[in-house]
Amino acid sequence: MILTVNQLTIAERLDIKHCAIQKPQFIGVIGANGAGKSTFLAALAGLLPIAPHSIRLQQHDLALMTVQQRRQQISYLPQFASVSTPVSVLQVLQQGLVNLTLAEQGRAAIERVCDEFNLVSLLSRSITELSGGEQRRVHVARACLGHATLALFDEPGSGLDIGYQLELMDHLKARSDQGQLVIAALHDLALAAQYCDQLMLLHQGQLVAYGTANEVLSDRHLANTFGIKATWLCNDDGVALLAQRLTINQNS
Amino acid sequence: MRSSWLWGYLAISCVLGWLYLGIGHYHFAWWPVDVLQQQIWLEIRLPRLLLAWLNGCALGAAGATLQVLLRNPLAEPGLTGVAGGAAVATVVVLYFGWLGAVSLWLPIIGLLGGAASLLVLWAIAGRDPSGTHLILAGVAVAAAAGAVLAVILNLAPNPFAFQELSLWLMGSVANRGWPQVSLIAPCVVIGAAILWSQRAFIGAHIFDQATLLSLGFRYASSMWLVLMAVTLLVAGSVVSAGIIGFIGLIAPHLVRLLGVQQPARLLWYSAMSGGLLLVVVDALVKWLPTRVELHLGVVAAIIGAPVLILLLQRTAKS
Repeated sequence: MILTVNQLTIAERLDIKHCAIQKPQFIGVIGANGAGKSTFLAALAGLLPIAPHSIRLQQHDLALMTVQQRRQQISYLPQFASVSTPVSVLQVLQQGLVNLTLAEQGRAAIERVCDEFNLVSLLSRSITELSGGEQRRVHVARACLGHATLALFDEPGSGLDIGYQLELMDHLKARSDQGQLVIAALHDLALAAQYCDQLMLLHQGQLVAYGTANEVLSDRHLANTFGIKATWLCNDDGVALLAQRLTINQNS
Repeated sequence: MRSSWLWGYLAISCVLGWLYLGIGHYHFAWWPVDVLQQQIWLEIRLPRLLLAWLNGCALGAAGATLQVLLRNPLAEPGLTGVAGGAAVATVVVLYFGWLGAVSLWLPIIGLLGGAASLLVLWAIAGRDPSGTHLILAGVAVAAAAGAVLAVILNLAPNPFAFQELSLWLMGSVANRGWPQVSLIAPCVVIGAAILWSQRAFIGAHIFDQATLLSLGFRYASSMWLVLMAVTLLVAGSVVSAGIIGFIGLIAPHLVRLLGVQQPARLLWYSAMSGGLLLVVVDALVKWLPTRVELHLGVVAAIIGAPVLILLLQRTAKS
């Protein structure tokens, strides 16, 4: 068991009874706005006060882990990650190595993520001068610097072109194949269905469904949580969905 | 790159320091010619030079740290009321005769006062310290501190106390000596040591709060330590020279204009340039042929206020 969530309650925003993830994989967290996706990820990252035993990462109780242990084992990309100081991309990545113990040299780690996310040409530029999508790529790369057991990404693809979004999903998938548990909050249901091994559907702070895309993205769930009816278009290359808004009557 | 900056700084400081020592009331001298001159150089001008430089360093470092920590380019010891709080506490113990003018307890009393205004500030604007909220709260705290200062000096048993109000509000390094230097020097050393030990934490403030929290710092204790270091620097400055405004604001922005942006470097460069800046301002104070010597803070404000207005305009636009 790599991650277990038990009776996780955070104020009135999140209330997850039980959920267990057995092996490293790519998990998508989906849900409407305000469903508790970001709160869930922040709680997993250890940013919010939680009760003892409510989250276990491998054999450790998250509430009792030291900041140093959390730093090594969990990487986290917040939804609104930003750097407002006009420092260079290289300096941002160097700063992102802080408190991180790596087997490789810090420079090697930076070179690795730069190759992975096509940042080499941006390294000497000031981060505040980059476009939103380019900045997002830098932040994703920053979160990928270490070799965490649990990698959390809160809407990693927001602001990215479709090409980069697909590339990003490929990278996240590859990381999960290499033994990392990747949990990402995602907005795009089609991308989530196409790439994720399992999906978690949150609704009003509760975990409504957890399983494969087929099980989670059922007509009933989509109607209840998003208020839509979906027509799925699938072929070997991927998945797309045509969504129709449901009226309130059908919804309830 | 780095060492050339340092050598350049040292060279400029030495030249400026020498010129500063030569400035007298009536004429300028390159070298103390007789015993009396020598005494003036060593007992009056040298401590004043060091006092100005140390004050500038303390305020520059404190201002830069506050700006980085609160992610607010307008934060400054004077504007945030930290200096005001330190001054009130110091004045209370001084003018009611509880402590002597150069007691080594003074910086600690100032520290308590500064910490008290930090707490008030945090209570008002702690949720979003990057906004104008903080500055408004700070101005309120600073104004309250100024008023309380006036009341205390009015009520103080010492008949000359009130005449010294402007000295506290405007700041001055005139008519002081080695004892005042020995008040601020330990504060600067300890404050700088704490800031140095927390440089990784300060440097990580280029990131947003959520990212910062995930980077493996013990946030609460690091934050406390750094804020205490800032308050100690400000307290040392206030007990030795009163409230000198604007240096803490201008020095970091000057350094940014030179192209230094990384918080950890910004800090040390601001301290160095703050020291130099205050020496220049004090040299102006000595050199200007006014009937009564102007207060250091007045000249700093005359230069600093327009800078503040420019900065406000630029932040309002962006």
